[in-house]
Amino acid sequence: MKDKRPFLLIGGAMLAVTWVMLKGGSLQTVLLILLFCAVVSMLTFLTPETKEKNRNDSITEEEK
Amino acid sequence: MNFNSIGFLIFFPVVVLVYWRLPFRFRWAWLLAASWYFYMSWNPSFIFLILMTTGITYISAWRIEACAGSSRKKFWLFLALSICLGELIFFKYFNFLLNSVVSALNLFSLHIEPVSFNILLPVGISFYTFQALSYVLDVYRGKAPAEKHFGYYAVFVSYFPQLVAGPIERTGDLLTQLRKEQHFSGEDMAAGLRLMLCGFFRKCVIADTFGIYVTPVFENLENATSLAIFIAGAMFCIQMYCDFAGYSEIARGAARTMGIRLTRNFNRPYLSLSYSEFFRRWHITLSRWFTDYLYIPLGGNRRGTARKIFNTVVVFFLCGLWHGASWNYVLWGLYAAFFICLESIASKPAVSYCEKHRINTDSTMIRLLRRSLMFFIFVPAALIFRAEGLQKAITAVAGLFTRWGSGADYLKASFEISGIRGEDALLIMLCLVCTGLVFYMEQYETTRSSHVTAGRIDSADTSHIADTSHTADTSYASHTAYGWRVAAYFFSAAAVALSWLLLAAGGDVSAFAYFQF
Repeated sequence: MKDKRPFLLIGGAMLAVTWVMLKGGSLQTVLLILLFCAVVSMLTFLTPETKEKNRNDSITEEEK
Repeated sequence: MNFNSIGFLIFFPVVVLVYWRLPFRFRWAWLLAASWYFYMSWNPSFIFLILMTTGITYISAWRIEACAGSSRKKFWLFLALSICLGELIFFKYFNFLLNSVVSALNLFSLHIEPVSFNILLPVGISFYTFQALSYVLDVYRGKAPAEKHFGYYAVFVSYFPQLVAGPIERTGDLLTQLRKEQHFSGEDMAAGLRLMLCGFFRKCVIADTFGIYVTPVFENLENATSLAIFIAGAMFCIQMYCDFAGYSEIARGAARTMGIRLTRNFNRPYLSLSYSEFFRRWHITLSRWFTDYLYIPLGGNRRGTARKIFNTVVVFFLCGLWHGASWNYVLWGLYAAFFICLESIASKPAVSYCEKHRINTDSTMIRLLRRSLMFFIFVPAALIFRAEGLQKAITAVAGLFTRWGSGADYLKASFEISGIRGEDALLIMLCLVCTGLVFYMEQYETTRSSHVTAGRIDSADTSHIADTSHTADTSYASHTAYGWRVAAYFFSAAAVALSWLLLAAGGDVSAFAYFQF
C-alpha cells in the first residue's frame, strides 16, 4: 500500500479533535472536523482518478 | 427496539452469531424467535396481530392453491383481504374515520361531540400487512406457489430487519432466499456492516442534524417567514430521505450479514426529472406494490386518459392514506396525483414544442433546470407531509407564499426562527455534501458486493435487488483504494458515534420517522 495520505489524515484529525477538546471546544466543532474529513476521504475515494491510479498500482504490483 | 438503540447493538450481533453457528435446518426457527422478540420489544401484545396476519394469509394461500380453478379460491382471497385490511383499518384508521364522520355531520349542523378510543397503533402494521397480502395475491394469480412450511412463511412475514419499515418484499425475492441455504461469506459480512454504517450515517448524522433546524419552524408556523418555511421544507426533504433511506440501508445491511439480499428502496429520488420518476425512485417497493396490485388491476393507462387520471387519483389517495390516518397525508397524495396527471397530459404538447423550437431536452442545462423545478415542487409536498394535521399543512403552504420580505432584518429573522447560526450553516453544508457522497458509497458497496457474489443467488429472479446500472466498476478484484475507503468509513463511524452520543446525552433516541406508518 503506497498511499499513506489517508492514514495521515486520520492521525491529523485525531490530533485536531484532541486539541479542540483540550481547549474546551464544543462537540459540534468536533463533529464539523469529522464531517469535513469524511467528505475529503469520500470525495478522494470516489474520484475516478483515484480508483484508476490505485488500479494501475495494483496491476503493476501483480506484474512485478 | 430502534436500530439506533443500545438494545439493538446487543441483540443484532447475538442473532447473527448464533444464526451462523446453527445448522441450516434450525436457522428459520432462530430467525423467527429473534424476529418475534424484536417485534415484542415494542409491545408484547402486538405479537397476536402478526400471528393472526401470518396464520390467515398462510391458510388462505394454501386453500387458494388447493381450490385452483374453482370459485372457492375467491372466497379464500376475500377472507384474507377482509381480515388483514380490517385489522389495518381498525388499528390505524378507526379514530380517524370516526372523527371524519363526526366532522362531516357537524357541517350539517348535527352537533356531535368528537369521540376518540385509546387504540395503540402497532409498529409497522402497514408494512407487514402489505407484504403478507402480496403473497396471497401472488398465489391467487398463480405467480408464486403457496409455502407449505409455516415456519419459513412466518419468517417471511416477520423477518426483523425489514419488519417495521420495509422494504416490502415479495415472495420470489425474500422467501426464496430464506429457503435456500446461505453459506458464510466474509465479503457479505463486511458489505453488510458497511451498508449498515452508511444507513446509520444518514440517520444519526444527516437526518437528526437537519431535524434540529426543521422542528422549531413547524412549532412556530404562525410567526415563521416564507424564507424560514422554505428552508424548513427543503431541509425536511433531505431529512425524510436520509431517515427512511437510512433505515432501508440498515435493513439491507443487517440482512446481508446473514447472506440475504433485500430489495433496494431508494435510488437518488431528488435527481428525478418528473414526479412520476420520483415515485420510481422513492420507496420503490411500495410504489411497485400499488402499481401491481391496484393501479394495473384498475386498468392502468390502457383505457384512455380520463380513466388513467381516475386511476392515478385513486392510487395516490390511498397511498397518502397509507402513510397516516390524517387528512394532510391525503392532501399530500392528491398533490402528487395532480402533478403526475399534469405531466401525463402536458408531456406530448411539451415534447412537440421542444421539437418545433429545436430544444435539446437532454442537455445538461435543461436537466438541471428540471431537477431544480422538481425540488421546488417537492418543498410544498414536504410541508404538507410534515405538518401535524390539515390545518397546519394549509398554514405552512400559505405561509410559504405570503410572507416574503427583503432586507437584512428579514434574513436575520428567518434564520433565527430556524436556529441557524454561523457554525450551523457550515454543518448543514457539510451534511448536504455528505448526502450525495453517502449515496455513492452505498452504490459502490451494492455494485461491488453484487460482483463478488455474482452467481451465488441463482434460483430467484433477484436482478433488481442489486442495482448495477450506475458507476459499475468491473475490476473490483484489483481495486485497492483501500486507505481512502478505510478513512471514509472511519470518519463516518466516528461522526455516527458522536451524533448518537449527543442525542443520547440529552436522554433522547430519535425514532425512525416511518415507524409510525
